Amino acid sequence: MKITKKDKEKQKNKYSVRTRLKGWFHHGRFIGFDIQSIIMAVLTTLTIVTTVVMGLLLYNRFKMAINQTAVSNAESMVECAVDKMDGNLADIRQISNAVNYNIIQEYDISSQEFSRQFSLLYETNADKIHSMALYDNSGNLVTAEPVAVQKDDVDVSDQSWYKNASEDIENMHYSTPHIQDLFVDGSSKYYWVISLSRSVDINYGDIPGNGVLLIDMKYSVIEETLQRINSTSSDAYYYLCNRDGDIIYHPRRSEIDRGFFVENSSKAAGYEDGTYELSDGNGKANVVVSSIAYTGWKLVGVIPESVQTTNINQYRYYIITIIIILLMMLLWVNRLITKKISKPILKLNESVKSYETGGTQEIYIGGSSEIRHLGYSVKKSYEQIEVLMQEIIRQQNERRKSEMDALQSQINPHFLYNTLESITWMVEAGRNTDAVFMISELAKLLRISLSKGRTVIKIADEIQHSRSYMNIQKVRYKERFETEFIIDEEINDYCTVKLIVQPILENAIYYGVGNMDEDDGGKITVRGEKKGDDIYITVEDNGMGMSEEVAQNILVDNNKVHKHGSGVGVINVHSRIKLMFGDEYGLEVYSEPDEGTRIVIHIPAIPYTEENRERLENRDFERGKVTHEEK
Amino acid sequence: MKRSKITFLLAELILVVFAGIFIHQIFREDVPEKRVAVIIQNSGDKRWDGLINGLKQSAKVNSLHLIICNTDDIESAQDEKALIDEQIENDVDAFIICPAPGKDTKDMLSQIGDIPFVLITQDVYMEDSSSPSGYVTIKPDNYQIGYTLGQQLLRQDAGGLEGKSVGVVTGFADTEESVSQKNGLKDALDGSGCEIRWEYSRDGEQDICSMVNLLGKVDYMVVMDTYALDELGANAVDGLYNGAVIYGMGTSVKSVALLDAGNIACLVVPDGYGVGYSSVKEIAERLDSRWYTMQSHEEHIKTIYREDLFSEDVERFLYSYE
Repeated sequence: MKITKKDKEKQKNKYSVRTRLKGWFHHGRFIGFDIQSIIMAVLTTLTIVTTVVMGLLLYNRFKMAINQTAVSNAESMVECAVDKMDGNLADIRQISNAVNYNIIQEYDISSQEFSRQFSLLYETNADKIHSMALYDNSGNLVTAEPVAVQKDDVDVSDQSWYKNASEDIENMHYSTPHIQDLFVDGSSKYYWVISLSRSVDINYGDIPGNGVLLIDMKYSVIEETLQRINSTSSDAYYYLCNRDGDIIYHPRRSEIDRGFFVENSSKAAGYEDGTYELSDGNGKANVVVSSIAYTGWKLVGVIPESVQTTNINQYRYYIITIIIILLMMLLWVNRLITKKISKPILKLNESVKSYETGGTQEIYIGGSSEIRHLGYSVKKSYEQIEVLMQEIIRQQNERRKSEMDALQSQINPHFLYNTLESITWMVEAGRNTDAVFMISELAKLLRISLSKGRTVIKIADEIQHSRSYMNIQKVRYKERFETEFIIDEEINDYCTVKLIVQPILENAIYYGVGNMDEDDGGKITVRGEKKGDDIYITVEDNGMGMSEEVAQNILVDNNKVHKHGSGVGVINVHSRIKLMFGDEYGLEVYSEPDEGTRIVIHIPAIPYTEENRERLENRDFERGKVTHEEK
Repeated sequence: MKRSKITFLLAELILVVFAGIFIHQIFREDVPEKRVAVIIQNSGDKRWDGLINGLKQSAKVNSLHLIICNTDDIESAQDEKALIDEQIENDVDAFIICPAPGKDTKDMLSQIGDIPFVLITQDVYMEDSSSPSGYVTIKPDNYQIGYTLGQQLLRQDAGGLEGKSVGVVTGFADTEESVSQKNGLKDALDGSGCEIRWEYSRDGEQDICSMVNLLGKVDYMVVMDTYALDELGANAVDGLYNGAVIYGMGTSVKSVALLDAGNIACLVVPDGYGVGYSSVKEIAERLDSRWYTMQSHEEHIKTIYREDLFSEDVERFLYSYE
């Protein structure tokens, strides 16, 4: 089968989240959750979202605060360190100026006073400077302090400090840190220095000339300042570089030299003074840059994000822990609120369910005013329904009673006409005794038929009614059949619906023995007996009987078989018994063609009392209860 | 119990577990630094300055507490075992060990147990010098040191080494360092026509100058032990010792000063700082994760002559020795 694009789209949509959600709502799956779960779910979702958002905002705010504090601290540190180093470097420049202006330009370099002053100045500043040396314009050593022998193979004119001073005579020049390698030192030590060189005018006797003054500042002066600020700060580190980014001091210099650590000093050196965010191989970092006066050096404070992250981690755990504890508490509170809200609704729901299943009749009234109002409304509705139901039942009973009365009143007028005609013939024939008997039997029959309008009568009365009927019929049929009543005395005082035997007897005559000759020995036997909790009244004839089909349909209200008789037929009797006593009771028909018919009336054994009679006639729905209680 | 109540209790239980985990994390931050013991002979000696600077800096970066054991000469595995046992009793978390001379050291180290350790400066001495011990070792390429010195000898003598004599001084005899260096030297000098007239291995507190004087005159002396180099170099007169030109391997500033003074003609310097730094880094990674497999490294070496002593490159190298 060809799959169209539309089909594919449809198939795709079938599995989309949106379609599934719609399906859930449309198929009412959420309806399956009770109100408590829904309220709890909604509150919990809101709680989680609110708490998490609050935590994130708090965390973000704190992170920013930590960041700002770290940057602010670094700025202060850098400022202090720059001041300190400016001071140190200015001291060295002052020393250089003092040597130049107060000694070199004042004295003949060959004089003893020159040497004395030169030495004196060195001694005064020995804590800051490692050595002082004066070279002539050929690179020859004029004098040096402390007094030392220059190494044999040293040629200062090749060294950068000398060249810088010679080429740019107007300025003083700072070198990067290097090992002092000019003089012989028997201590097997090397000293790291920063050289300050400048061009100077010298007087050798009366001959003026040029030279270069070298002041080797102890690198330790700078190093100690930076070591101190690095050791006091755990969030940041500080380094010093020149304007080209060459490292002058770095706490991790040895690592940088070996490639164990990378510092983007050239980028930082290009920045103006200020604070910047720098991203390089080590990750993100905030850098604070400040220039050292006169040198072009930059002091850089670096606050790596990774260090800040380590500090923030601790706080992050605190925030998460607080959020979790808050969530636990809020969940507990949510549950309490949910229960408080939903409990009355659930109770109301339970009471309505119970009412519907026929349990307790009490509708729950409680909770908030709205729920109470709802409870009252439901209760009132049910009460009204109950009243309406009772009214409907009453009306139905009335209707059934009317039906019953209508059914009972269907006595064939032909029977009455024929009987009266028979009596007339008897009177005309002078058979007064027989006429009296007939009138007497007819009177009994009509009295019981009427029964003061009652539907339920004693079995004894019903049997009497049957006897009267049969006595009348026997006269009419000129004794062509016999009648026998075999009734147990004990059933006489039980209840029965009136006029249930007579229609069956009528049928037995018409379809059984009515057409038989006297010699044929037609007989109708009526038996009455009690078996267990039930009473059975059997009407049996030995007439022509009926086919199985007719026997099966005789109790069914259809037109498959033709029905004869007074009109108060067996269906009528069957229906009235069922209406009165229930579906388990009624008639049973047994017949065989040419053998006869037996019809069994099955009714419950309900003792005849005025109370039972009224209940039965009022069609009390608890008929069974009445019956068994009475039994 | 109702389903909603079970769900609620389950949610609360999960939150309690999470809260517990994070509270544990909060207090875990206060856990003291892990302790690493460093066992090297004569730990106060100047020749270890670069190495110890590297160890310290790496320990600082990796937040480890370093215990540098105060030792004299470690001449045997037993001496070293006593130091290790002492530190095990102090509950150290890891060791950095310069292995003692002798073939017993391998067995001794196998008794350390689960405590991780790294060997530095040299591997354990094995009778079969071609096979490594299998322990994690961070050291200079000792064979290359010997080989480089041999090559420098060849390079410096314009007339070739034909007919020249060479004396070789090494550290303790039964060490991987000495054996590898000698092998490297011999391989470099192989076919040069020179004669290795004598070999001497330092042994404890002997007066090495007197001992070498007794061994006879040679044209070149190759000293592959810092202690011996410093002693011999310091006693050399006018750059000569018994008439021999000294080539050596040294790790101290004194060795550099002797080169500067002309007492030594050529100096090969292994990167002690790098050895120290890398060894702590490996240990730190191992202590961070027990699944981490430590790796052996060979740090580079530098050959220095007097004329390029104060080049920027060498100065940088020497900075770590301060």
